[in-house]
Amino acid sequence: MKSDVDRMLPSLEPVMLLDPDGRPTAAGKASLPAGEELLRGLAGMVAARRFNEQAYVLVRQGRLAVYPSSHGQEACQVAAAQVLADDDWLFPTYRDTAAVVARGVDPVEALGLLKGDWHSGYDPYERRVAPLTTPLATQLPHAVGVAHAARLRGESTVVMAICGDGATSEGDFHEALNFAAVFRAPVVFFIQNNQYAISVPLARQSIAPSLAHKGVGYGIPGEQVDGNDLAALLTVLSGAVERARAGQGPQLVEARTYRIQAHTNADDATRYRTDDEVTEWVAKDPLVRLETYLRAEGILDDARAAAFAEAAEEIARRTRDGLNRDVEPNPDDLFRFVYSRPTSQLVDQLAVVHDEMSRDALSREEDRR
Amino acid sequence: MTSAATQQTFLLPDLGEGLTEAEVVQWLVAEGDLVAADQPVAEVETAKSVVEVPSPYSGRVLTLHAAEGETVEVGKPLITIVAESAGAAEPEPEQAGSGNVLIGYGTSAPGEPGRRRPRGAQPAPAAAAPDNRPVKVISPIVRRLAQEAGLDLRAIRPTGTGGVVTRSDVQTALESARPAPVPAPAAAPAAAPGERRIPLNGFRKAASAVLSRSRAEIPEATVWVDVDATALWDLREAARTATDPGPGLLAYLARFVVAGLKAYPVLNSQLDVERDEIVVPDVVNLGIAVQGEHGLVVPAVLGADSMTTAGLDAAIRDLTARARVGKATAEELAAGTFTLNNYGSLGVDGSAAIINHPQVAMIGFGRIIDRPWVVDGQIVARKITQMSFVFDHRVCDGGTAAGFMRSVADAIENPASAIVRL
Repeated sequence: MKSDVDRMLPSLEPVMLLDPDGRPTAAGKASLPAGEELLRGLAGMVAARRFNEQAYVLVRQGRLAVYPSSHGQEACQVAAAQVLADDDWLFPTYRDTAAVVARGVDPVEALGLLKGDWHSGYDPYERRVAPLTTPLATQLPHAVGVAHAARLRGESTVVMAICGDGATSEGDFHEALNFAAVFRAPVVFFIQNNQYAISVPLARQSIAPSLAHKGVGYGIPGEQVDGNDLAALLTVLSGAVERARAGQGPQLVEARTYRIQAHTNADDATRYRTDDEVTEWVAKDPLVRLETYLRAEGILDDARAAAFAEAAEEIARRTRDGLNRDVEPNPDDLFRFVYSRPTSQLVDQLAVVHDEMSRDALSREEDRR
Repeated sequence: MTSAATQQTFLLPDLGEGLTEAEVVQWLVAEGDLVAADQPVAEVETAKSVVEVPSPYSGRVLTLHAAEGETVEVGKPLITIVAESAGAAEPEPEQAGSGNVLIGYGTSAPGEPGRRRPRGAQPAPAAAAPDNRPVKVISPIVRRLAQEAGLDLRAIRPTGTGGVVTRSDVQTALESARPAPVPAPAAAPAAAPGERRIPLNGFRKAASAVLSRSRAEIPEATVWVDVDATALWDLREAARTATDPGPGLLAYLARFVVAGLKAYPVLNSQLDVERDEIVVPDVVNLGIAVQGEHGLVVPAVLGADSMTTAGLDAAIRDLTARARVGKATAEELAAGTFTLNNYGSLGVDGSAAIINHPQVAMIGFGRIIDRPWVVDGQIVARKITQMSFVFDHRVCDGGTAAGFMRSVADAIENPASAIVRL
């Protein structure tokens, strides 16, 4: 008979259903998600990888101000979106653009913030995706608030709140988990542990047995899962979502994964990690692992694989075309969206801008003559 | 034939959140090559890292705007590509410098001729008497424009609401000032005949900042002493066997230096000027000056105070070998608490070295050569080295420095008795 504490503790090892060579583990032989679910996941990962590559290129062409790539973490990105229902909410961090796109947000709109625009780029209510959050862990209390409100209203909404390993050291992480636990908010806290908080390795971040173990202190069940195994992620995350939906309260899921590229274009990862370490993780690539399994089982054929690649190429093309378009920003927008009725100061400032713009136009006019 | 209208110029973007320039390390394409969109065309080095830059355009390379080794400012042309289209070329009315190719931020060059004509006959601003009233400016862009053009905001006639200096005012003033023989500060001076200009690359620039800061902030004092290293030399030779070469001289010197720092821990510290406190770490991370591929680096042997001479020997060999090829870790490069500078390996005897800020002291050893020396009233040949020591006079006085120096010098001259005490 397991005690309550035992039930909250994660497995001793991360849950893995497919090993890095694409073979089912003992647990995988017992149960795997349906073939169609896995195919959908693979399609999502192929698209996410191509999207990551395209965004990476666009940064170096000056079209994006910055891009924190989720290359290597695509299984986490896709699974987080795939296990949600339409009425659920996703709360992403700045590294989760691929998850946002997997949820159905237009790829160009999804990059609004990282392009350097003053707004998030997409309507959060349309697909129920909160804006990308740059400060660490601040989205977690927001996610709990949305979940708690849904529960008070008697809705069946579940909230998927993503954060990284570094965010678990933030005060907001603590407040969010504690509040969610006490009020049984339907939230899945999904930690993508990619081993580094920018340059700070996990060993300097936490010496807990695992990040999933942090759940028990709040009275929240924790589980750890191989973050490069889409089959395991779908199983663990959908289980957590369904339990939250059934009123059993929040869950904490830690995925062990790895960021293959540098933190962003402003980071040189070779200064804090070795090439050998990266090589080791490249061998655990989530796409290769799932594709190997699906091909071995005859679930995936060349035609289907080509269709996935083509769809991914289409997303890359839309992203490239959309971001290569020069949109003249309207200076009036700066004054527009914070107050329903602008303050007198804003009215004055807008007049100054208009004055300057009209002189500018006049001067050009003279220039032409 | 392609017309100029199908040319597209890719301006160097900011490659890493706030960078202002990058050095072209290597071109991956040549003029005349065909390139595809998103194909890497150059490898550039920024202050942060080396990255490949992909072209946003496809077509044939017309111009590479910089030579390898040259630095390009963000917003300046990197490469010009001509679209390859048979017959019906798309209308491409925009050219470099127009809105269409404003890739990156703030590409308008301060030295570029403005579009504006002065409105009305505005006299060029006369040299004004000193005026301390604040100038009314709202936009930081206006301040920057004026600053870059070398214009005094007070000398600009404001026309904005309530006497505010606007952008067009600055540009108008710029136009009027143009005929005057004002040297454009933004323009790079051309090399005079008989000279060659070598731009400081990222590494030299960073080193220059640290060194300048050290010299600007630290009131330093340097002391030196000649040391007879014959006994140490003999000890090193005695420790050699057929199979084991034994520790090198540098390892012995490092071991004595670490012992000296344990006796005088204030020399292994940092100064917290905000709080007027000397911060003394528990450990000695011994920085070793190494001439690397790009220049001088000072990686540290971490925890040098817990190592034996043999342990230090292995650690120093490993560290210096890696540092020479740029493989010292970021922690090693940042963690030093004190520096040992073996400039003798460069064939010199003495140096008034610059302290490696934020450290407070550095010891240096010149080359060890045979010199005539008086021993027991007789002139004999001995192995002599000159040892120098530079320290931050704010953390200690000459007495401390001399005490430390002597402890190391005595150990070198009488290694056997020094080792007994270690």
